[in-house]
This record gives sequence, C-alpha cells and structure tokens, in this order.
Amino acid sequence: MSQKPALLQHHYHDWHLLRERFMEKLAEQSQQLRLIESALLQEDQSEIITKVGELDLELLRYACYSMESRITEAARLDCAHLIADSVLDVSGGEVSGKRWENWMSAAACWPQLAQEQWNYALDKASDVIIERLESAGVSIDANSVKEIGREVADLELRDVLPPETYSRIFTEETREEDVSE
Amino acid sequence: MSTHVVLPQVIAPDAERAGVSKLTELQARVAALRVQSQAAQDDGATLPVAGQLPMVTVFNPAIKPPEGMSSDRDSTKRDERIMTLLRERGALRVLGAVASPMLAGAISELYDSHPNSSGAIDYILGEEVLARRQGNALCGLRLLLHGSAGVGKTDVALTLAKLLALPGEVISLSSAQAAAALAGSEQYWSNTQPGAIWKQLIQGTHANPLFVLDEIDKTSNQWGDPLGALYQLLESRTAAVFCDKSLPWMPVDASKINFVATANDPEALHPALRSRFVEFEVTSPSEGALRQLIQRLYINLLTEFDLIDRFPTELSVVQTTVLLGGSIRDAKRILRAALGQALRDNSNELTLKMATPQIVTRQRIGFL
Repeated sequence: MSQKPALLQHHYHDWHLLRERFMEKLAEQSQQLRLIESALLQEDQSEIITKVGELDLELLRYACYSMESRITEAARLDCAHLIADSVLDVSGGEVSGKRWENWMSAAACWPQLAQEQWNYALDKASDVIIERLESAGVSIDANSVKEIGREVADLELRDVLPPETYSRIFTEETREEDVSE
Repeated sequence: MSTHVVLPQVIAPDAERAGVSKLTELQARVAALRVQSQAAQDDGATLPVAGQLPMVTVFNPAIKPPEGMSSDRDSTKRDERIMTLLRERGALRVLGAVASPMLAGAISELYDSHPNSSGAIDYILGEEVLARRQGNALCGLRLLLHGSAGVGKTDVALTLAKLLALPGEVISLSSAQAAAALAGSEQYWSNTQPGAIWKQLIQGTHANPLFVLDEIDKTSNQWGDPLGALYQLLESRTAAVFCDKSLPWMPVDASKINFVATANDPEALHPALRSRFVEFEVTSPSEGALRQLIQRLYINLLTEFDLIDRFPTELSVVQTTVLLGGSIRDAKRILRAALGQALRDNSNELTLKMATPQIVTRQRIGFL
C-alpha cells in the first residue's frame, strides 16, 4: 500500500508525457485483451503466449490501481455523505436508512469497502455535516465543530444502518472480522 | 458570560440515557446547534455565538404519539409533521437572561424608563440576585402588574423582555380566541392548532420566554376559559408537564416561562389565580416622569423610522405639555401622525394635533 503512491506518481509522469497517445494506448490494450480472449477460446497456445507478451503490464497495473483507488475514494465519499444523511435525518431514520440499503445493495464491493474505509469516511463526514449545517444558515463555533468531529468519529456502521440491513449484509463471520480488527 | 452548552448527556439522567444511541445523541447535538444559532441570529449581537449558550430540555426526546390514536389520514400526517419538527428542533432550548451583574444593570434601566414600576423592578432585581447565586437564569417570574389604564403596565413588561433579551409575546386575554391562543384548540377540531406556549417552546429558541398576559381581568369565557390553562401554567410543578390541548400526548416543560400579567382591577381575578402571582401596583407617573416617557417615546419613533438626523431630537416643553393632555398611547399616536404629516409636507417641524378626531377619539384602554 505504501508503494502505490510512488507508483502512481511515476506513471502519472509517464502518461502525462505521453498523453497524446494515452487513450490510443488504452484502446490498444483493450484490443489486445480481446485477442487473448479469442486465443483462449481457440486454445491457441502460441498466440496466447505472443499476445500476453505484447501486453503493456505497466499500463494495465496502473489502470487496475487507478480503478481501485477511484472506487475506494468513491466508497469513502459515499459513506461520508450517507453518514451525514443519517446524522441530519429528521424522518426518524426512514430516509437515510433507505439510502444506506440502496447503496449497500448497488454493488457487491460496497459493504466490504464501507468496513475497510470507515475511519476515512467518518473523517470526511464531519466536514460534510458542518458544510451542510452552515449552508442551511447554522453558525457553529470552533468548539462545537470539534465536538461534532469527536462524536462522529465514535460512530460505527451498526449505528447508522437499519438493524435488519446490518444483520442481512454483514454475516456473523464478517462481524467477527470487524471486531478482531 | 461563562456559559456552556448543556448537552443532552449532561442533562438526561442515566436512566433516561439508557438505550440512547450514539447517533441519537449526535442528532440531539445538531438540533441544539440549530436552535442556538437561530437564537443568536434573532438576538443580533447580544448573545454569544452558537455553541456557547446554556440549554435545558423542554420535552422528552423519546416522546411519540400513541399508536392507534390517529385513526384518520390527516391526523397521522399531522403527527408525522410534528415528529419531524421535534426531531429537527430537538429537546434543548436556550436559557436566556442568565443572571449576571450585566443583566442586573440592564434591568436597572427600568428605574429610569418606568419609575412608576419601582416595586416590580425591585422584585425582579431580587430574583436576579437569587438566580445569580445558583448560576441560574431568570425563570418562572409570575408578576401581576395592576393599575389604572394608560399607566404603562404592558410597556413595562415588553421593555423588560427587551432588556432581558428574551423572546416576548403578548396574549390579549380579552379576545374571544384567548383560550385557544394560549393552550391550543381541542384535538377533535379538524383545524386544531397548538397554542402560543407550545409554539414558543417548540418552534422558538428559548425555554424561558416572557409572556405578557394582557388584561387578565377582562377575560371572555365565550369560547372556553382562557384562564383554565393558567392554573396549570403558573404552578411550577404542573407547568413542568404542561399539555397543549391540540397535542395531549406531548407534555412540555413550561415551568421556566416568565409571565407578566396586567390588570386594571386585580379584584376581578379568582383568588386561586391571583394567589399564583406576585402583585405590584403600577402607579400613575408624575408629571416629570410623564414628560420623560413622552421624550423617550419620541426618540424611539425617530429611531424606528431612521429620522434622527431629520427632526430635532428633543421635544419642546410646549410640545410635551400638549401631549400631557392625553394618555401615553394618545401621545404615541399623535407623535406618529405628526411625523408622517411633516414628511408629507417635506417639513422639519412637528405639528401636534390633539383634537384630530381620527387620532384622539377612543377611551384610554391601556398603554401602547
């Protein structure tokens, strides 16, 4: 994990220099993957070896990393906004509960990412809550900002998810992992 | 002012806190901030910034309408709207008029502006000192100011509310709707509405607003007894669980509300009600005091209409003498009319017309 930012910087530098051909190179790699798929279907060993050899592994690694980091970032941000929804919900949890339910069910990766990225999401959630309150005309002093941050940091997934959603999505096994962490 | 937000976890006894989730506590804090911010905005610069005001609980945050009570759709929707409001506003309200030497100084201004109410002012200052010893605020005042019409009873009450920086509301008990205005209308009416007490405590910002119960001796029982609710509201133990007629399932703590009632004839009140007040007579002001009052009234009008630079800031002796011929209320009307006329004539001179029928025709029925 600690090497990834350096890798990203390295590739960003390279792709920045080659930006005129960046999209073209991505398209080439997609085409290459299709050719490998075709060779696999035909069980053409030599073609498979040739085409795999022609893959730009640096680019593909970078693409995978980019996707991973973007999805992780999206999970943090989505969770932060959903936490803010829960805190500011005046419907008794009905509206925010439904939003959590929909988000968690939208992709298989979200529940796991929500667990893994929870602390980052909490950190961002305080800012979102303060921003929303201030844009609604609520003026807040520095001490209250700190207090809200402290209380938000104390929240757990089970505090904001409807109990039945939490039980359904997070199996006993997952919850044990959660605890052991 | 060394005041701090009193958070729900501080106020609520352990038993009440049991089962309260971290999310619920956080939501209560956010609701408290909304209320504090509104209070600070309403008050301008007088109050400290939101987050630093003392707060107390005015209702049980776990309260819900009883199931099965709302059989029709309209009632259910109404209950939902009420619940949304309660969640948004939370159970904490600002405690204004925290006792301090500064507050005592502000109250003392009444000696100059309303010298004929010195008995009541002495009492309020005594209450302030007692509250200060407990680190408390001015809460639960129950004053009955009586005296002849036009001596300034209502004005004392309103000026007091202003000096204490408390939200104030005048309930005219002589009106036909007084009963519902104070304690809500019965739930069986399709257009049932909560009364002023509930609205001030729930939709307002303070736990201790100041209500002026105007002309309490002239209540009309035609549409219900407006004084019925007062028996409960003026007794602190029963006021702490006051139920609006429109929302009988939801007790609110009205014990900290300050009440100042005015009456021309306190003898007309039922002894049980009268005994709940501390009574003070507001005497007719002396001529000198009246002249001061008229001058203050004039300055207030100039300030209200941003005319300080346009007209002389002091009335002449002749002008105040003319105005002494009527009540203070008359004086205000005449001064207002004179200012309006002078503006229309593009003149800097005030012509005071005591005899104008539109202006001076009614009997004195109060102060302002």
